[in-house]
Amino acid sequence: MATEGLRVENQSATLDSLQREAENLKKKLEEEKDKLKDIDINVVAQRLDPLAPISLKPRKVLKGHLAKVLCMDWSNDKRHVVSSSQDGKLLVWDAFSTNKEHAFSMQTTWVMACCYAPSSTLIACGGLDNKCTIYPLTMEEDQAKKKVVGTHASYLSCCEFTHSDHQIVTGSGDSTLALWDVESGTLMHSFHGHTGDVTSLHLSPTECGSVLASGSCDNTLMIWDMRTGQCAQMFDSHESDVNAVRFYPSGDAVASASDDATCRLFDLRADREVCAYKKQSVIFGCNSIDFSLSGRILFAGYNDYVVNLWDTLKSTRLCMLYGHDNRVSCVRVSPDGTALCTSSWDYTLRIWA
Amino acid sequence: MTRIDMDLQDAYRRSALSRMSEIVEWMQQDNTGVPVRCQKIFLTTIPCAFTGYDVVEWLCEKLNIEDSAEAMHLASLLCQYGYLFPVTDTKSLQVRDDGSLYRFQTPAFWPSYNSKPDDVYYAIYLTKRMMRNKQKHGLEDFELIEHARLQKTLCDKWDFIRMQAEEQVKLLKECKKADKVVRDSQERAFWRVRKPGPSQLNAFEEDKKKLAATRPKRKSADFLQREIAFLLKSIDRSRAKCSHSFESLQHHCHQYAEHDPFLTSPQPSNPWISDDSTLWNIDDPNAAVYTEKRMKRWAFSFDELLRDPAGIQEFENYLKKEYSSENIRFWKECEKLRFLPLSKVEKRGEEIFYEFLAKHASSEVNIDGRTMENTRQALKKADRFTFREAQEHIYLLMKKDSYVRFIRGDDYQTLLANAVCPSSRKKFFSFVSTVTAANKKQKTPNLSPSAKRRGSATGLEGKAGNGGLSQHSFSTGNLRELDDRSTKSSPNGSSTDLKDEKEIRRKFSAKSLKQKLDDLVSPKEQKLSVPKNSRGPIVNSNQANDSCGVETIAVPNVVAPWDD
Repeated sequence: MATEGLRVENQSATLDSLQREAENLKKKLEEEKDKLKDIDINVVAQRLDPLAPISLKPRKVLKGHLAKVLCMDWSNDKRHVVSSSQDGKLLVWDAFSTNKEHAFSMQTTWVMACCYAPSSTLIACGGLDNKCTIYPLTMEEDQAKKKVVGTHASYLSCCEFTHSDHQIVTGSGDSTLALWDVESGTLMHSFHGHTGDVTSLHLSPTECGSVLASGSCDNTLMIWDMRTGQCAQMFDSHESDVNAVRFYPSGDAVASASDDATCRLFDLRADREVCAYKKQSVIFGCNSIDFSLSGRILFAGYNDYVVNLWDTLKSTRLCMLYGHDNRVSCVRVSPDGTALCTSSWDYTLRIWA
Repeated sequence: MTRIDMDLQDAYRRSALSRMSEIVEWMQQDNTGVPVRCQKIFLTTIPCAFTGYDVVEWLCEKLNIEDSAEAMHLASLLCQYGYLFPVTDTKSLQVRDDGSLYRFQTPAFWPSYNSKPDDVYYAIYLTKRMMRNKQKHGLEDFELIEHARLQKTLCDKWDFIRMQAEEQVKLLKECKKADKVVRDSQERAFWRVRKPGPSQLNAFEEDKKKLAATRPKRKSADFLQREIAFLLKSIDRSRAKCSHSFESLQHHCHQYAEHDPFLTSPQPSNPWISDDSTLWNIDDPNAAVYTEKRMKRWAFSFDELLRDPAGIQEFENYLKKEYSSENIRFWKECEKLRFLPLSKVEKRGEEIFYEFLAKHASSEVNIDGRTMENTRQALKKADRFTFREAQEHIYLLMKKDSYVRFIRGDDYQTLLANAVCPSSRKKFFSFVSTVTAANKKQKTPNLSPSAKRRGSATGLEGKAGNGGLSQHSFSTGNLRELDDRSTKSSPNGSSTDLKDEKEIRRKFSAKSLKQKLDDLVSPKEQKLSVPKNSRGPIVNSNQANDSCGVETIAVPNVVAPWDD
């Protein structure tokens, strides 16, 4: 008994010392980063020309879901959209004509993740069933052809195909991410390091298939090397859950959105936060973000039913999009940058241009 | 306090609810808050109320909101979350910027202190209302159903509930009238937002994702050790200066601004706005004719070229003339290999080796001995990354050598000159779409240049007077920028740079002016010469070399860095 007690005490002592060591290293790391902070970006950005006023209007409203829309994704053909909802339905839309082209019913409710394959012939989805399921988009609605690619220990929160239809990356509430071979369902890599639920992931647009970013409920954002499965960089300046991550189009920076009502931009080469997008009157958590094609505009969907447009470089707000009557769950710019699609808990999707 | 409680408190501190509470507390301060007073409407006095004007004005002033629409929206949210409520309006929870009256909710009823309202309290509230004046306090249909349901589920507590309700009604009768009105309205407002009718919005619906979320656990020793190792590695990491990284972010925005439909409206039109999908037909990845915009992007960087399948195709055509197309084919195959299904990787890996790397391979690529040795080693256990090193090597080779020549060479310039430049004219599109259909089989898009050139010229002239010239010099300007960026580490625009650029721009515009004149004088000749270009590879490679020489003279200090 006595030795047992001693061991527990020892353990907590080592834990404390380890904790201290980690804290010290963190401080040192910050100092190291600060050495290279040679300019105040807000001051430099002041000098940039402001953008011309932007006015986006809702061009299409996609109605058909009978529950909260939780996730959506664009097809590479620039006009089709897949969306998933809380009642377990998956719809494929021709957003241009607003027609529904396919519908799938999942066994589970809360389908929190869905995405299009690069070839636009498959869609993947998952949610509280912990599985990533793939449906082919064929003319005959043959649900028997669906295929389960991977299973997590907790709910599936996000998924994205790599450059091809043959690999898919998934993120889950079990605080890991995984890379799967679609054909065989083999786990090719898993990514451990987060201490809270993984909420979002995005593959680098320039180093597709080798660099991956993820956000988590542990308030951090991590950059992963997909070849080794190792975490390459970590950013922890958010004060609450990180709900979304998105690469800057050049692949050199990553933006994040959080429940602390801010969005932030982290530069990968400077290895630090370079911009924060916040305002006194913005008090609700942000759920989803995306960049315009050039990266100058950051679209952000919030829990206060609004989409805010931020000037990425000047960190000022450009305008607000009103229209949804409930939380905005997902925002995505179309592949050619011509339109913005937003999905909401008010059961609708909207296309803005 | 347990750890979980602390975590929960912590989570609350950072949530939107806490931020709303802060704002409302501020609003209620005596001197600086929203003015609350008895309001008179006709003959009735309404105690403890404020107007929509007041709250909107207060929000605008205190939270630096420029647009009253935003203040109204925020006030409506405070309303939907039950921090304030409309006094008379029973239908809507929107705050309006007018004389309509609102009242603060008492803090005891704030969502911050009532994360989940208890069913027993709800039952007491409903029973109370049933005991009172039907006309004023009668239940709605959905509330009646709720009441019946609660009576069933809480049957063991029902005596207690009824007694409580009776007691509270009695107490209320003893209150002063003003107090009674206020308290009554506050209680009702609380249940109105917490138990909304079936068709009404419930702001308190929780996100399943957040409910299921496991809060971070206490870190284990093992985890901490890994964290320390990671931190140590991070400290030694090489980093860029802030100024440098911000400049490159800026550069990207600037370079792509005219390609971003949200910043520059696309030509001919944005399909979502005009309901005309021509843009997609023109920009189709398989389109036989490229737009000028699309081609200009190829000159941004080698990666940008490789991102466009048509860019790869044209680059390969060019390399064929240089007899080095195996490089791009090898790169393409390696790229494909990385994304193949696992089952096919090994076989394909071998095939690639025998096609490109083995001795006497049919299209042998040129890599150095060490890379070759490493690749041989990697091939023993072939996986998706077997050729990574070799691919990297070839990539750099092409980037530094062939790509630069391709972009400067005649082929690219001819393609660029022949590229379509759609304007918003209707006539032009019908032409493009027919060409697209007709040219499906033809891989080289410069087969009918005269017609296209005319098209593009008219398009430009339609847009701006000096169309053609400015376009040409602009694209060379882009080229120049590219060179600057890659040759020098810090593109601080010095005066020499500017001078150089001016000079080059002058030369190029002179050249393009000449071209332009040639076109005008003898369009037929042009028509003949271009197809010859694309069909006679030998003649053409000579020409390409020649023109390369010309270009290097024009850009004296740029070529040298590529060579080393």
